[in-house]
Amino acid sequence: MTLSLDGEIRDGRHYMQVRVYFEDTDSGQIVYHANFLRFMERGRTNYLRLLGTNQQALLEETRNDAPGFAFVVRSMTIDFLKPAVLDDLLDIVTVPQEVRGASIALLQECRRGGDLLVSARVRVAFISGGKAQRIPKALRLAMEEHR
Amino acid sequence: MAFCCDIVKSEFSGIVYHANYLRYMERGRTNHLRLMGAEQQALFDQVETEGAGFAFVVRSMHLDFLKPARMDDVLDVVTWPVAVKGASIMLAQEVRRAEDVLVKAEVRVAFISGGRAQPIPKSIRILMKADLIS
Repeated sequence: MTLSLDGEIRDGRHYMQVRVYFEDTDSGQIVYHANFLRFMERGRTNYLRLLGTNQQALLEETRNDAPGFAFVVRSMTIDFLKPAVLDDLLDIVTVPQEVRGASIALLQECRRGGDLLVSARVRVAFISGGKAQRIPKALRLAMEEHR
Repeated sequence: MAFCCDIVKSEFSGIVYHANYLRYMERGRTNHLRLMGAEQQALFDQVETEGAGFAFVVRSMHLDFLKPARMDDVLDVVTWPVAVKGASIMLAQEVRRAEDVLVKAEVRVAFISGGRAQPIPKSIRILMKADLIS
């Protein structure tokens, strides 16, 4: 089954797939460690995109309350368990763990079939108008809905 | 080591993309090893002969992104060992702009030779321990 470009949300978790290309590797060998962060960012971005699509009101409310909003990564703890190699088809899974007043904690995994390659805990903050702001209520509700 | 900050991906806000700091910090770790090797060429030669084609791989990292860096910033990447064990080395790294610490990281690296995890060569362990700040 091929997931659409933005992946899908199932049971409150976001799933998407990424194919490893030559550019992601160290000269065709293994995937350079920092590249997993780019894959995981796609997961977070698409998770938010689909939350916004599923809940159009959420996005509008957020845009009204906080014009020019963005999420920034505050901290990450990452374990690089097994390498990914050229042509691998990776599953990027994003799971909301904790939604606090001003930050969201997400668990993200890069898997290849049954193998867990990379596991990360990512804390993101919500920035609007150049300053940290509280997570918009609509977004918090959307993330907590399925948990 | 200090080097000029180059923006590969410039977001709308003009701040450095978070994953780019990992590349800067890798340069720090690589140069740290390179300079240790230059200072103690004999020790590195020994490692090369013992295990042709060795490499350090990142096993885990913890990162705190404290403040953003912007285009044209000159950043200092500081690297020092904090724990030297048999099979892995823990390094602390900071990306600074003058006195401001922008990013703090703890990085655990393992030693790979012949495609498999190996004990850290004694010569490298000795070199790293000499710089340990606990």
